[in-house]
Amino acid sequence: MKTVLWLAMAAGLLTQPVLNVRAEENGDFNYFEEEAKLLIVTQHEQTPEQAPAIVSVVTRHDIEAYGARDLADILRLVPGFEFGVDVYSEAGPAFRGIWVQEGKMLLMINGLMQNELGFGNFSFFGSIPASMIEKVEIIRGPGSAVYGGFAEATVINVITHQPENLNGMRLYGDLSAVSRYGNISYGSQTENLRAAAHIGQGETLLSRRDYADFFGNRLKLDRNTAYRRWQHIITEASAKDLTIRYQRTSFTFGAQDTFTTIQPAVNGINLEQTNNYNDVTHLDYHAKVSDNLAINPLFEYTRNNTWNFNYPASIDGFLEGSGAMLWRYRGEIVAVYATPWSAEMRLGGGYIQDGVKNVASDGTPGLQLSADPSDRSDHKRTSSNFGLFQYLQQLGPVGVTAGGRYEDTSFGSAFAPRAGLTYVHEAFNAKLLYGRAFRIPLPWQAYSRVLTYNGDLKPEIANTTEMEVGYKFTPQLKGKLNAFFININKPIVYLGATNEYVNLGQVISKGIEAELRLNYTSYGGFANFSYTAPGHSTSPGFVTPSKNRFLATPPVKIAFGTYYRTGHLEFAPSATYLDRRAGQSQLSANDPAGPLGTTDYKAIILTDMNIIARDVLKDLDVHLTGHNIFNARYTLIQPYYGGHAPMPAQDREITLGFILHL
Amino acid sequence: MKQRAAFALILIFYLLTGLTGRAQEVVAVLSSDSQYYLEALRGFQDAWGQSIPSFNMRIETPVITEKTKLVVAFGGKANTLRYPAKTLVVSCMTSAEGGNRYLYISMAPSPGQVFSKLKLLQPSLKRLAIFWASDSMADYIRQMRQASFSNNIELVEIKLENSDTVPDQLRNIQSRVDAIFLPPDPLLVNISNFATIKDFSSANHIPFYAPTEGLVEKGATASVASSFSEMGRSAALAARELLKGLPQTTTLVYPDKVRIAINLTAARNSTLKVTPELIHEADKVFP
Repeated sequence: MKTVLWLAMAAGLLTQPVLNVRAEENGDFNYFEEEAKLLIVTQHEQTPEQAPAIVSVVTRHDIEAYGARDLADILRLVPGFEFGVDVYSEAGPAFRGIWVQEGKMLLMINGLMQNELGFGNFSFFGSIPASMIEKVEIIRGPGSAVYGGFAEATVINVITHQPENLNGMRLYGDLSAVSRYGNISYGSQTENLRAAAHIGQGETLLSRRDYADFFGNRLKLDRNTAYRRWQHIITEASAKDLTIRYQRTSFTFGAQDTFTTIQPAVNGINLEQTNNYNDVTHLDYHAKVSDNLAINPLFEYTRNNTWNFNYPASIDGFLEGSGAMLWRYRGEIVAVYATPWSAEMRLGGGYIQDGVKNVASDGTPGLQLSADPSDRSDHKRTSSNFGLFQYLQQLGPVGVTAGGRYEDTSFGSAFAPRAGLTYVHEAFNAKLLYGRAFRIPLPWQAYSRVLTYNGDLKPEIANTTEMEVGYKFTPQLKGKLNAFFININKPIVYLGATNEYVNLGQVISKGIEAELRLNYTSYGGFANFSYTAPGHSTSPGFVTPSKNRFLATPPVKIAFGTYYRTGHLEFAPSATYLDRRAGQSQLSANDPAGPLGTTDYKAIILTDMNIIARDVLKDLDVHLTGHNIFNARYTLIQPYYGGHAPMPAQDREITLGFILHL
Repeated sequence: MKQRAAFALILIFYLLTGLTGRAQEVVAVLSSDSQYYLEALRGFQDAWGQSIPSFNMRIETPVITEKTKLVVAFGGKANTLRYPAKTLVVSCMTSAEGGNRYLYISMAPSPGQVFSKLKLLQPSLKRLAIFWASDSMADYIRQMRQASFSNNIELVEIKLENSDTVPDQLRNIQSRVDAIFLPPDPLLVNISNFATIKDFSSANHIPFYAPTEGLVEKGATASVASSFSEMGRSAALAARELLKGLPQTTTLVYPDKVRIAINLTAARNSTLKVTPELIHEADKVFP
């Protein structure tokens, strides 16, 4: 009875309005921590550990500290990325061993697509100078469920300096023996308006070494034969909930094609000059209907080209020159609803129209619309209707994501579901992710007269499974380890034998990536490791005959860097180790009907050193950067058996640069 | 026998007082028994003129009936509870948003008051860095921006995608700002960020303004903030008006009184000039 009474009295005490005060040593922090947990659940504000994707964010500090020249330098320090070369000596990215040029990687600037709409390419090395970049957000995995289009293997979003970061003008300049780049950024934020503009241009030289093709030709690379020129105008303005963006970028490069031989010299210059431009106009509106519901419509118009051969007449220039123009209209509307049970739902849909216009230099239509060679036109449109959904909920330490995107296109339908489970408990986090992605064929690939007509092209499908574990050893030191398995079925590939794009074969990539990052205000650094191997079912065209390595990319890549800041000075050495790589052998290139054969290229280390002096004069920062300071003989290798010999690139370069804040 | 009778009487007393408490028209719901919620509750009761029944969500589930006319919710957990449709709700000490029927007592002081006090503390202030991370702070940051224009102070806004980028952002603003202001953003205020910003401000001799007096005691240079008690008092005034049926022109209420706290050690290591007048102006001074 006594016990019962004591219990009852205790119950009575608990109903009292008088509450006990707990001893709270870190009371203020505890209070904010509790509120943060709630915000994350109710407002869906995610930490990187809770995001249902494997994400890398390269910040302005890392870009500046390690002295990146352009986007290629930035990506090299991220797990999984390396580069290769393709026709016309175009440098493109490989990710996790897979050649993601030709539409398997979505590249955006401030959320606007930069891939050209002929093949889905974007040319690297000398493009997107680092001076215009505030940060780079990278989804190291599929993004089709959200982005559709080219987001099959990875998504890269380059964010330029934002109005609130600029709050005035910034001038950038970089000068070396082989490069000169300049950029002016202006940003302003007033009570009702945010606006920013960036204008810049520059030029670099791919290499000064000799380029020797597989057929006995040799060419000294110089400013006339291996230049890369870049120009950009990036603008954006927001008033209330309306945002307008306009971007124009242009990349011109002189290079050599190698289907048969080096381009015959014209006026003593061995050169094909290629130009890519990209024009995008974008409008979006954020309509907050209620506290729980927002509707976001957007409209976008993109116009660009494949390769515009300015000089001299190319082997394909008759049909693929200034008369070719590609465009895309995209309209989309997405509703975001915060449910009463603390989940977030997204539901949306839209319409995409891709178009191509092509007139040959003799005035004849440049497109073939059916197997009948006389069925020609100078324009063609294809379209896609799509719907997307996503459900996201945080249940205590566990985050659940389910979603997908369905597209009904002129080339057939495709469905990209995704599912993710995340778990965060104190310093530990884990992710288990599955995503199916697709890449829709482009009208140029099916109908251009440069190629053989193929009206049977279908979307290619990639299935990706990923797992990540992470641990914060201290608030400043954290590590991550992830494993992946990617299976691309019937990729859209170019078949040289018939000069057409077809759905053929399979690409399987599997591997692990690890990252360690230390970040204090005065010192820190990173180290990361990537290992990639092809699956045995991978088609022979992308791998060594033994199928133990992908062509062009190293099976192992290790990158590391440190920074130390003292007073006005910051020192940041960094290095990237590239394991031995394989490329098509000269013998194999000269005997296309014979067995496939490869040559090994020895492992190299690219070592950089950057010194920054801040405020040497009022608002003036100066940096001195050495890239590839030991002059390792880096080459770009073709990632398939295409007959392009390795292209020298990125010799030692010492750059002096400045940033002036006005 | 006497002992049993005493236990029975005590039991009846407590149960009765507890139950009668629940029958009140105004009740408080506290997210936990944190001292901060209790301080705010005391402020509420002082201004209300009498104590009101309260629920501590750490140990009990609030019972809110149709008879409850008004709930004062302290903290995000209490704020997100589903209350009867007819019940008026005043939310205190939270960043999480709710339905239209809520009236919020801001944890942050009004931007106008913040700048006015900052000018008092640091007359030479020209460029102020403000860090924030939670989208729920966006409206407050917008108001700070507006107030900065009229106070002729350039506001350097730093929206963090995640906490890990605090060191990066601090490096970016080195020697470009005169002070750092940390609003009460739950996604931003934690031990690690606080230590990083405190060390940075100390190394660069610039004042670090924290969102609570407790953080000034822990080493921030100063704070311009409302006390939890004042938030509770403001909630009481707002609740009284709500119950009278007075029309509300806004769903957000800033506490009237703003306090200044100064940490003398940190202040002397910064460009802040600690004058006797300033100490006199301060509501709380830590050695």
